[in-house]
Amino acid sequence: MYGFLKRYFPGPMADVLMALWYVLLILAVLYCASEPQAEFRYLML
Amino acid sequence: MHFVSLIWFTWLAGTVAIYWIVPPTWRDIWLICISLAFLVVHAPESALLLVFFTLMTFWLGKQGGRYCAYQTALAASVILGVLIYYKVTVRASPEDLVREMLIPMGLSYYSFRCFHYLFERFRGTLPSHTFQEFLSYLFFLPTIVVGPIHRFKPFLDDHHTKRWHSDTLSEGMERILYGYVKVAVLANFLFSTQMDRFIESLAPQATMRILYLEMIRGAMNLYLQFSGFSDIAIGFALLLGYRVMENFNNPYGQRNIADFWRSWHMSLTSWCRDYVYLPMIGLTRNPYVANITAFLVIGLWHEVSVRFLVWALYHATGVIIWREFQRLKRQLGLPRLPPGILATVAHSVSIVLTFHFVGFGFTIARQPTLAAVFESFHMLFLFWW
Repeated sequence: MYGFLKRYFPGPMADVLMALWYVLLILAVLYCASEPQAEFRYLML
Repeated sequence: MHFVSLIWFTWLAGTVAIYWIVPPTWRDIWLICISLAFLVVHAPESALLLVFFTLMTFWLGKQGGRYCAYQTALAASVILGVLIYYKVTVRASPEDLVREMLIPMGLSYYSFRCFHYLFERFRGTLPSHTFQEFLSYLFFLPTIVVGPIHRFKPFLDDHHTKRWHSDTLSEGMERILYGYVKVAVLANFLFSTQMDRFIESLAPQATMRILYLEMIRGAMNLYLQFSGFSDIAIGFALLLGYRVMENFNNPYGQRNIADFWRSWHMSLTSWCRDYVYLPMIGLTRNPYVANITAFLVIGLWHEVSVRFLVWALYHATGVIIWREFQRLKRQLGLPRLPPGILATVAHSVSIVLTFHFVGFGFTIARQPTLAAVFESFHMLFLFWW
């Protein structure tokens, strides 16, 4: 993904977009982690 | 225990930070201690078993080569006996809560690592190593709980060459983040919570539609959770300077069931290929028998029960039919479709069919009894009758 951004966005723009992408993902994980977590049977093998 | 929690994240970050701060000679010992502490806190029974397996596997397999056949057989039998004992005990306990208490955490994964070590020692393919290196392999925290069932030789190579590298570190962090996105956002939020709400909102008489959506939900949830946890494990290993084997390679994008099994839980399937399928081929010269045996091992590795036996035979049959179809195609000299719109449609249809074959297989594995499996399939395929 970083390579793709570097190709289409010049200079530090790609770095900024990449950082924003990570922040977005972290926020999404934090938001969704508050939901009850489903059972995962592979953890019990 | 939840892996999407602040406590787990602090544990992970602290382990990695101290690992790189302490002198290199102490890093292995730190990791072994922290893994042991993790197991003692969360699953003391598992910690005891792993210590026992480690000592027995190393000492009985240490001579290596063909002349230690009895020792290898003895160690493998003991591990297999313990594994079967727990798998059968689990079968007798239908409640998940009870199951969690009964199964020692990670037993299925580290048992198969011990088998791998014993068999490779017996074949004489492993390079010379110390007990501490073997201990580091079995007590490798990132892969203890949910795999991958990585191999000893690549681990040893990384063990000798590992060093701090910012690229590896950032790759590991990125991998962990994507793993968490798969587990928390896609699997848990989208395919569990939200899709559950949607299914509940459907009219109760829409049984077939509900079962079909349940099948999609189950298949997606399982893949995203498992590959997400594998990503977290692989990322965690990268933070420690190790590159463990991949577990998934876009399994739901495969065009046939044989390719699906080459890209799903690859550490287990490659284990079964090396230690079950190929030896069975050598023994019987019959690919069908070898194929069925390998799938039975995969099925019973999950659980010793009739439903997983049926699930294993279902997939073995699928792979055999696919191979026969390929053989027939070659015999008849049928040409491949030329690139174009027809080939793209055929490609897409085969991906959808493979996904549905696998999804219906998971429906077998999810039902508590065989009668419930038949009931589900009856409602899905013979809903008008």
